[in-house]
Amino acid sequence: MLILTRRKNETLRIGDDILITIVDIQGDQIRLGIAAPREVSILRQELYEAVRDSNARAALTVQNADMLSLLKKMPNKDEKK
Amino acid sequence: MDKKIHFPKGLIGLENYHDFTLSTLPEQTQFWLLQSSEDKHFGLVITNPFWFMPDYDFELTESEIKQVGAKENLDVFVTVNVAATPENITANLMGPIILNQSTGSGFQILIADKKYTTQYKIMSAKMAGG
Repeated sequence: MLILTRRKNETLRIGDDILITIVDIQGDQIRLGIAAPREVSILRQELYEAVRDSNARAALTVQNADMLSLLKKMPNKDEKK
Repeated sequence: MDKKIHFPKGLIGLENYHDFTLSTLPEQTQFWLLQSSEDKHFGLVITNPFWFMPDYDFELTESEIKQVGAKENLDVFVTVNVAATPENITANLMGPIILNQSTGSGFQILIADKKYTTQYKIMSAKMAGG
């Protein structure tokens, strides 16, 4: 991992077309401005981790065959409430 | 009827699973099993989100549209966490699975929308909303 120091209003360039600017610093919070091509996806890492963990948990529940039978209690498509 | 689905990029955080079989579950019309063809111990229950959340929506980025490859014949599913009590069965609304029926390929995408959670209680909404 590359570690480098930037100050407020300074910018970092990644590749040809990604620019990251330190817009504001308040205590332990840093506001970043990111300019990147539209096809580059930018996400908070916590979101990725939340979905990854949910996938792993969902897979665990399926290993338990008894769990699947519980779904039988769920409403079916044709049932009107 | 079982359907083979190829996930070119795997699932989020589980990038090494690429090939799945989509099959129905006994006595179920709303839930399907997405079973890994590479690992018999790995499978996910998925459901159509619209029966419990009719206004579920999200936007695909241009690169996601390119990946999925079409705008027609797409099915949207969400993964389900099965729990011992129906009230605690949750759906992950932040990582929907998009299946392209014409190519037999699937993609899980990440939705960065604060209104959705990874642990949405399916039944509580059904019971409260009516």
